Amino acid sequence: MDQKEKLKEIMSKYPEETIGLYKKLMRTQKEQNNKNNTKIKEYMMGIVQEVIE
Amino acid sequence: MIIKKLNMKNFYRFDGCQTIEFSYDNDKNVTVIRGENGTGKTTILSAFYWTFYGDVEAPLEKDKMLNDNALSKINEGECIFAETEVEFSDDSTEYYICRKQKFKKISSKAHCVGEPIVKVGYLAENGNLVYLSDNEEPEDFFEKIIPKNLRGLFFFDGERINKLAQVDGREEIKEAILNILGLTKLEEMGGHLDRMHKDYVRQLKKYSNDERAQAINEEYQSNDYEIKKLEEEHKELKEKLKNTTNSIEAIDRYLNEHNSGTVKALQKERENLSSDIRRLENSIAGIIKEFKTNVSKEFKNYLILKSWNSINTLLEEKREKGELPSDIKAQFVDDLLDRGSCICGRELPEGSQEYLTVANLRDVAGRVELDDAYTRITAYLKNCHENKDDFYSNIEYLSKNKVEAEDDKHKKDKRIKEISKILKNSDEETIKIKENLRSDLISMKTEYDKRLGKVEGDLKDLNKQKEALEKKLDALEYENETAKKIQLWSRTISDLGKLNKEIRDFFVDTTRINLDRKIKEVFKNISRKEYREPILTEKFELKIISTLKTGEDAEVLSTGEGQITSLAFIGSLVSYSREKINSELISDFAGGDFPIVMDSPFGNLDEVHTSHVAKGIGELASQVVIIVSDKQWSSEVEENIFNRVGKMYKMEDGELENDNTKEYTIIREVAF
Repeated sequence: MDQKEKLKEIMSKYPEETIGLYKKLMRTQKEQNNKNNTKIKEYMMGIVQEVIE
Repeated sequence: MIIKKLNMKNFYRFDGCQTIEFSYDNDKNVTVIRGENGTGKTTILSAFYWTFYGDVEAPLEKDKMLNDNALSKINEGECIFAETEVEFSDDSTEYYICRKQKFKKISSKAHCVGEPIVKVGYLAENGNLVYLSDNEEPEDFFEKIIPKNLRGLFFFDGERINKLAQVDGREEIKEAILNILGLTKLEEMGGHLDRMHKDYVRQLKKYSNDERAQAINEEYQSNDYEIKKLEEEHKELKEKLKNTTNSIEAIDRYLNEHNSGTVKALQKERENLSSDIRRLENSIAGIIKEFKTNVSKEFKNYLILKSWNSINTLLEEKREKGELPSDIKAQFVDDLLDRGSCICGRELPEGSQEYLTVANLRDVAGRVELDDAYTRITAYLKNCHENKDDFYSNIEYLSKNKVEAEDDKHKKDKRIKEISKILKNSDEETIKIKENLRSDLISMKTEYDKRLGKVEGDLKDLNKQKEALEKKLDALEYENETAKKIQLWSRTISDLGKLNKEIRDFFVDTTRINLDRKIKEVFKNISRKEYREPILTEKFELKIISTLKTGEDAEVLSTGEGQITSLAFIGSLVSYSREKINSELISDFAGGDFPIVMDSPFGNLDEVHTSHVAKGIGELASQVVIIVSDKQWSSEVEENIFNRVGKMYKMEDGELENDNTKEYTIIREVAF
């Protein structure tokens, strides 16, 4: 199995909603790091609460 | 990252301002800086360390940074700066970093005044240089480009990098891979998710009405507290171990470079003995592993041999009676009866005498499974009986080898102790002090190692408990609507944590496999021994093995090979990181482009390896800077690297203006 397929297999074990949220959090981490935000955790908690109603 | 220019002003041996502009042309990406011993070659590496991280490499000292001639030109009470500046580009942005230290002349000597001043600027779109303000932390700015703990991979002394290709280098290698390829972003995400989960668990505590829920929550908090405490101790121990190892290495270097031939020879002998001991320990571990495998796989077979006679007699009796294996099978009798006719052609109507005669054969007929089992058991017993001597002789052989290796190790340990005793009784006071300190450091290192093992074991257990407690917490049921919502978020975070861990493990593993392939490729181009092969193991150990041998004995490593393997690793890492910038698979984490700045890259290498490294070095990174002595700039180096060289500089002693002028170095660009 090639590496791309193996990664797909890992992702397929989780619901699309979880994968979507994970990608969103990864992007957030990158953006907030660039802005030197020291409250990334709180920022991310806000996103989780907004997405998971 | 591309380094464009380095300015050094009044910095150690460099009087006035000395400038080096680096080549970064695609085809001519190598800059060569040549200098005789004592002209400050290693100071160039320290100039980068000082600019980017604010420190210098031993034996240089920060408070002696100001050039002597610069000091002599100012009056008593006046101040002057020693400073360095680097211009570089990273991710399409042009940067400038300057770090300077103020000195005041008091009683003809230079005294540091205040803290160093750091200025970091970047070229804005309009072409203006914009400086970072203090609250943007210019001090830590460079950490994001090349973290301080990894600087040794990009700015290094070629003669001292062989440590990477040893077990001790394992953590450094793993850290380098994770950092350079940006995989620490996944660890950072894991940290955020963990803290978010803990926050939600804390919030849920106030909604836990029954005793059980309260107890689980409290147990979780206390487990978390213990983990945090041990993680801190783990970090401290690692730091202590690193510092202790560095101090031991510094003493070893001192003894190695000592002008007394006896001291040098003793230290060399000790290094060889330590390397032999490491190999013997590996060999003993291999023997124990093989011994265990043999016993667990084969020994049960030989236990049965005690009953071999009785089992064999029983089976032999059955065979003689014709009961085993049976002449006729039960299935065959049933088939005849079902068919209603015998093999001789007679009809077998149900209830007839013929039918009953055939049916009675069932009593003596054997079952296929029983006959198969009989065949297997007799073959198995025969095999055990015939090979029992091989098993015992193999065990005996392994035990003998183990005892021999342990004896050898014991002798070498004893000799190391003798060497230490000789050095402690040296006539020279400094040797005595250093050797005593070395012994203390070795004892401390052993203690730290033991404690680290215990802490790692405890952390593993506590993390298992944590996982179990998280499952219990997720399974709790709440009546309160807010609590239900918080629990849902908490569960989601748990899932995200698991996903993140799986992705991290996948990327670490994938990267290791790909890098292992790359290291082999690079090594093949620079090594002259076709039967040697580097391996990046699953434990992130960088090893070199002989393909002509197998098992533990295959592991070989001389100092020169350590240097070649380490160079291959660094080159592969830089090259792999460069390739991955636009990789679809890890585009989110890709590291980037890094330069390699090497002092004495051909240090311990023989002529053939020197030629190969010189030939391949320019291809390893987008930009390569090599600092060499004239002796190291041999015809093999020149011939092989020539096509890649874009700029060449020469460091030489400046002219002494008068009797009061101290020795200093000037740098000039030379044609080639």
